[in-house]
Formats: sequence, structure tokens, C-alpha cells
Amino acid sequence: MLSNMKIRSRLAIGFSVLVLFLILTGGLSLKNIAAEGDLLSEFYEHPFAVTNAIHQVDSNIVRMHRGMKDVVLYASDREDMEVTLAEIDGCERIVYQQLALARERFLGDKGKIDQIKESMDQWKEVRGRTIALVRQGKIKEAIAFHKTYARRTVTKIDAQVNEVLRFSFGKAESFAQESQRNQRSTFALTAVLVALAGILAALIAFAITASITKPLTDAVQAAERLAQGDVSVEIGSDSADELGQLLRAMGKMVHSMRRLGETANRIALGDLDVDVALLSEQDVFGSAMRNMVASLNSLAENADRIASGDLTIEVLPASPKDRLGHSFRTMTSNVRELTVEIAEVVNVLAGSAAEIMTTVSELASSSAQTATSISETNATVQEIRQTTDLTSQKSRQVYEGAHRSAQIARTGRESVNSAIGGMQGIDERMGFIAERIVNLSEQSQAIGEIIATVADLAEQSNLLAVNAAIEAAKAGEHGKGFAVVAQEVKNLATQSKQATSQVRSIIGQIQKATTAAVLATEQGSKAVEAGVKQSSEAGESIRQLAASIEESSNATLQIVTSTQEQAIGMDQIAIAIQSINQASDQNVEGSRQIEAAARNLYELNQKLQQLVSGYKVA
Amino acid sequence: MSVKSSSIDWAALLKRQEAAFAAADAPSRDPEREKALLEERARQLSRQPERAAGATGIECLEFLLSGERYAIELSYIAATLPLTDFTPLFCAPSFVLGVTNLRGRIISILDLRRFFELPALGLSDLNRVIVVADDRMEFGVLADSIVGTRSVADGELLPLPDTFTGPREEFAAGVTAERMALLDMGRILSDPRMVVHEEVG
Repeated sequence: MLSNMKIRSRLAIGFSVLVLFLILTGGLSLKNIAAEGDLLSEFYEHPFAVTNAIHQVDSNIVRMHRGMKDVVLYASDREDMEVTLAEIDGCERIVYQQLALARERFLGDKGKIDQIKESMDQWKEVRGRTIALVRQGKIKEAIAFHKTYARRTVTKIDAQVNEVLRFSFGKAESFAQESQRNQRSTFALTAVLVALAGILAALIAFAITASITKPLTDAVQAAERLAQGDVSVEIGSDSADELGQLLRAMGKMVHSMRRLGETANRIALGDLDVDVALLSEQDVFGSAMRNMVASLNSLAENADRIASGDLTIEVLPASPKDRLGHSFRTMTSNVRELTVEIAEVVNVLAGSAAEIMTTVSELASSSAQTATSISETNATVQEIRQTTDLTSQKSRQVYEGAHRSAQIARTGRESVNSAIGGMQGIDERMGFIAERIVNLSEQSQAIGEIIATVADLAEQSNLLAVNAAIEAAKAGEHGKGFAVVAQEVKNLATQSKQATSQVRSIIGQIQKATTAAVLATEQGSKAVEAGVKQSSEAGESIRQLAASIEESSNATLQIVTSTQEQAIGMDQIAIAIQSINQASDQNVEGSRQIEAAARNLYELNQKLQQLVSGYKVA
Repeated sequence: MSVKSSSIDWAALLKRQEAAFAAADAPSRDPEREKALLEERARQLSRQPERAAGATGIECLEFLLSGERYAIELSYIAATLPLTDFTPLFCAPSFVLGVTNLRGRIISILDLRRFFELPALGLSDLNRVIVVADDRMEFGVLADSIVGTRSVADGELLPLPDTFTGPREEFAAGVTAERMALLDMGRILSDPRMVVHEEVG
């Protein structure tokens, strides 16, 4: 029902419903506010006024009672008393006025107000009596009277006033309760109405929006699919409104596009016999399609001629922006040039194939030479390998020899050290010998001295013998025997002298010998020193020798290791040469294959030349 | 080392030393040898008198003066003594060497070399004094050394050669073939020149 209406009428109906509901709610609220106002004025008219009046009555009664007390107590001051009495009369007037007001407004029993009035009248009489007594100066009687009657009357009035006040308060309370009740009911009603209005507004808004947005959403989805090129979408509507018309028009557009797409698809599949029908005079798509088909047909004819080997054709592009035409023209010219170039290349290829064949034959012969060289190299490597083994063996022997030499050098050093020690011992002994010899020399000196003494003795003996001989001569014949003795003594003395001279000469010889011996020992000592020095030098030389032997030993060790490495390297070289040999064999084999391939290439070239000659270039 | 040691034959050296020590330790007086020596000497001595007995000779003491040989008859000689201590005399003639003490007697010593004008050799411990005396005169004659006593045969004495001049010619009795001059001691002793009698103012 809603969808068949125009969108404007839908919006108008919805807004009218909402405005009606708002008016209803406002009326109800106004009515309730008026009732509340009535209740408030009534409250002010009655219980509030009565209470106020009664309160004034009560306070004035109290003032009057206090004034009476003053009158009774301070009766001495007459002027003051008169002022007080006038005040009491004022208060009494106010009391009567207020009582009249209260009686008019009082909603309860008006009799209670009348009772207060009666009590007041009674108290007036009592007061008159008391005042009269005071005026008469009967103060004590006045006090007694006042005590007896005034207090009783005032108490009674108080009770009555309180009763009226209680009633008035109760009435005020009932008024307040009613007002609250009224307020609560008004609030509830208004709330319900506002809530109902909100719900209704939401429902109406939803219904209208939904009736507009749904067809629009369909249309938008269909348009998006169309924009993506999907023409399979079906668009249609039964509604009579503006959106329905829009959707139906879109459906027609989609149908037309679908037909165009099918035609284009057939062209794309290569069907150039398709007939494109124009939908109208302004059918741009249709005429474009027709032109395209015609242009493609002319291109296809050209392509057929090229395929049949006629490269002389000249393709004319449909327009300066005809990329396909341009490409086709470029292609044909390129193919033409390519064919010419291929023909040239084929010629070059023929020459190259011939060259390859000659090169391959040279390669084969050089491979054979390589093979002989390799076999020679292999023999050389074997020889070097054996030499290396020999070198390794010899260097090991040299190393061992050097090791032994180092040990011998060490022993030699020790021997030299002990020799130095021995020489130093010899030096000491030499010194000892020299000392002893000097001692001997000194002792022989002592002997010389002794010998000198002996010589002296011999001389004296000689002289004595001479004297004896003289004496014997003097004795004459008797002294002959004594002369013999004297001669003998002289002889002995002479012999002693000779002996002493011999001893002296021997001592001289001994001293010479000792000097020579001392010199010899000194020389010996020097020789020993030189020997020690030479031995030290020899030791140093041996040490250096040992060091150099050690170095040579290390060097030979390195030689041993390096010759071993050399041997390993030689083995590797032998293996490598083996590989080279194999590679050379493979090279020969490969060159043979290359030769066959070159022959094939030559044949292929012949075929290619025939093929190229089939194309008509100019 | 062994090469060096061969230059000294230690074994031989030690042997030599042992031999030397043995010789030193051995008794220095071999009685047989000594006896033989003494017998030899005795034989020599027993022969000499035979030779001397043939002719009468002059027993004399031979001595040396400045390398020349002189002799004095034993009969004039009192003693010989070494020139140990002497006191030079001042103001005496040069041939008077000095005075010396001979067993308590003071005797003068004459230096005949000065007298004979021979070159002086200087004095030493080996110089000897030959004390000559007769019944009038006693003095010592300085000698370089004393050779010994000998007897000179009368025939042995030869006349003095021409080289002996002056005092030597005067005092020499004769010369042997061995150029030993025998001094005429009696003449020397009695010669007044030997007596020095001078007073010094």
C-alpha cells in the first residue's frame, strides 16, 4: 500500500500523525497544571490563613497576660500602668479581628472559634475586676485574684487555640498530600504519552526510509556491477513510483550492453563475418564496431599475403593513431629486412662452418701432440718423484747425522770444559812448581853461603899448611915427616877449594836451571792460560758449531717435511697429468664430434639457403 | 794431550831424581875409594923426595904479586897469615901498607909491588901476609896469593933478564925457567930503605 504512494505523500502523512500526538500531550499537561494551581490557591485561602490568624491570636494573648502581670506587680507606677493597659487593649482588638478572620476561613467546626471568643469575653471580665482592685490600691487582693482566675482562663484559652491549630495543620497536610498525588498522576500520564510519541515517530521514519532506500540500494549495486563490466545483471521493478521507472530504464541499458559485448566477443574470437546492426543513428558503439571489423578484415588479407611469402606488400594505417596498422607495417618491413639479413647470415654461416671444420682438424692434430707431450711429462714426473724420494731419504740421513753431530758437539763441549778445568789445575800445579823451584834456588843460595864458608876454611887450612910446611922446613931433617903432613893438608885444602868451586859452579848451574825452570813454568803457565783461552774458544766454536748443526738439523728437518710435501705434490701432479691425458683423449673425441656437428651445420646451412630463397623480398 | 806429554819423559826424570837422592843419601865417604886415594897420594909423596934428593936445593915459598911469580926462602919466613886487620900508617912511604897485630907483636907490612913499581891490584880477603924475619929485622910482605912451598935446585936459577931493573934487579937472587923470581930476602931485610925513620913536623 505504501509502495504505491508517491514519496511526497508518504512524508506528509507521517509528519501529520506526529504533530497530532504532540498536541494531545500538550493539552493533557496544561489541564493538569491548571488543577495544581487551583489546589495551591485553596491551600493558601484556608489552612494557611487560619493558621496565621490563630498564631497571632496566641501571641497577643501571651502579651496581654504578661501585661496583666506587669500591671499587678508594678501597680505603684500609675503612668506606666496606664500605658500597659492601653497596650493590652490594642492586643485585645487584634485578637478579636484575627478570630473573626479565622472563623470566616475555618473549614472545620466554627463553634470552636466561638468558644475561644467566649473565653476571651470571660477573661475580659476577670481583667476588669483585677484592674479595678489595682486602681483601688488593693494590690494584694488583685494579685490573689489574678492568680486564681486569670491563670485558669488563660490556660483554657490556650487549650482551645491549640485544638484549632491542630485541626488547621491536619487540613494543610491533607491538602499537600492531594497535591502530591495529583502531581504524580500528571507526570506518569505525560511520560507515557511522550514515550508513545517517540516510538510512533521511529516506526514512521523507519517505514518511509525503508520504502525509499531498498530500491535505491538495488540500483546502486547493479550500477557498481555494470561499472565493473558485469552485464549479466538483471534489473527490473513492478512498482509504479519514480524509482521503479529508473530501474526499468537501467534494465534496458544492460540488455543493449550485453548484446554489444557478445558481438565484441565474437570479433575477439576471430569471427570477422559478424554483421553489426545499428540501433539508431546515434549508435556510436555500433558504428565503431562496424569500422573495427572492416579494418581487421583488411589486416587479415595482408597477413594472408605475407604468410604466402609475399613480403612486398605495403600496409597503410587507418589513421596516424592506428597502432596495429603501424605495427603491421613495421612488422612487414622488419620481416623483409630480417629475411635479407638471414640470407646474408646464412652465407656467413656457411663460411663459418667451413672454418670450424678446418679448426677442428687442427685441434685434432694438436690434441695428438698434447698426448705425446703428456706422456713425456708423465715420465719426467715419475723421475722427479723418484728423485724426491731419494732426496727425502738422504735428507733424513743428513738430519740424523746432524742430530748425532749435535750430540757429539755437546760431548765435545763438556770435554773442553773438563779440559779447561784440568788446565786450570795444571796452572795451579805450575805455580806450585815455580814456588818450589824458587825455594830450591833460595836453598841453593844458602848452600852457596855455606860453600863460601867452606872455601874460607879451605883457604885458612891452606895457609895453615903453608905455615906448617915452613915450620917443618925450619925443623930441618926432623921436620921432614911433618912437611909431608903439611903438604897433605895443603893438598886437602886445595881439593876442598876445588870442591867448593865445583859446588859453586854447580850451584850456579842449579840457579840457572831454577831460573830456566821458573821461566819454563811461567811459560807453561802462560801456555796453560793460552790453552784455557784456546779451549774456551774451542768450546765457543764447538757451541757455535753445535748451534749451526742444530740449525742445519732443523733445516734438514724442514727439507725432509718439504720433500715429503713435494712427493705428495708430485703424486698430485701425476694424477693431474692423468686427468689432463683423459681430458686430451676427450678433446680428441670431442673434436671428432665437433667435426660431425660442423658437417651437419653445413648441410643445415644448405637447407636454410633453399628456404630463404623461397621468400620474395623485392 | 797424549801428544804433548811425550815431550817430557816423566819416568826418566823421576828415575834421575831418585838416583840423585840416592847419591845424596849414600855415605859420602867410600872407605875403599878413600883408601885408594890416600895410597895414590902416598905413592906420589914417596916419589918426590927421591927426585929432590939428587941435588941440593933451596926450600922456598912461592907467591904471586900482580900476576908475577916470586919466591922467598923458607929460612926467612916466620909465618904466613891472612890480611885480616891492619892499620894504615900516615906519613909513611907508599910501600908501607900499615901495621898489624901478630899474636901480640906489632909488625909492619910492606907492599913490594910499590917497591918493585908493579901495578897495584887492590886488596881483598885473599891477600896474604908473609912474615919474614932474621935476627935484626921482622916485617910482613904483602902477597896477592900464596902458591905453596917448593924447592928450587941451584942449577935451576938463571941470571936475571934485562927486564929486571931498579929495585927488582937489586933484590932478586935469580929467576927460574918458569919465570919465578927468587927474592934475596937477606938483602931486603938488611936494606936501609926498609927502615923508616922519619919525623914529621
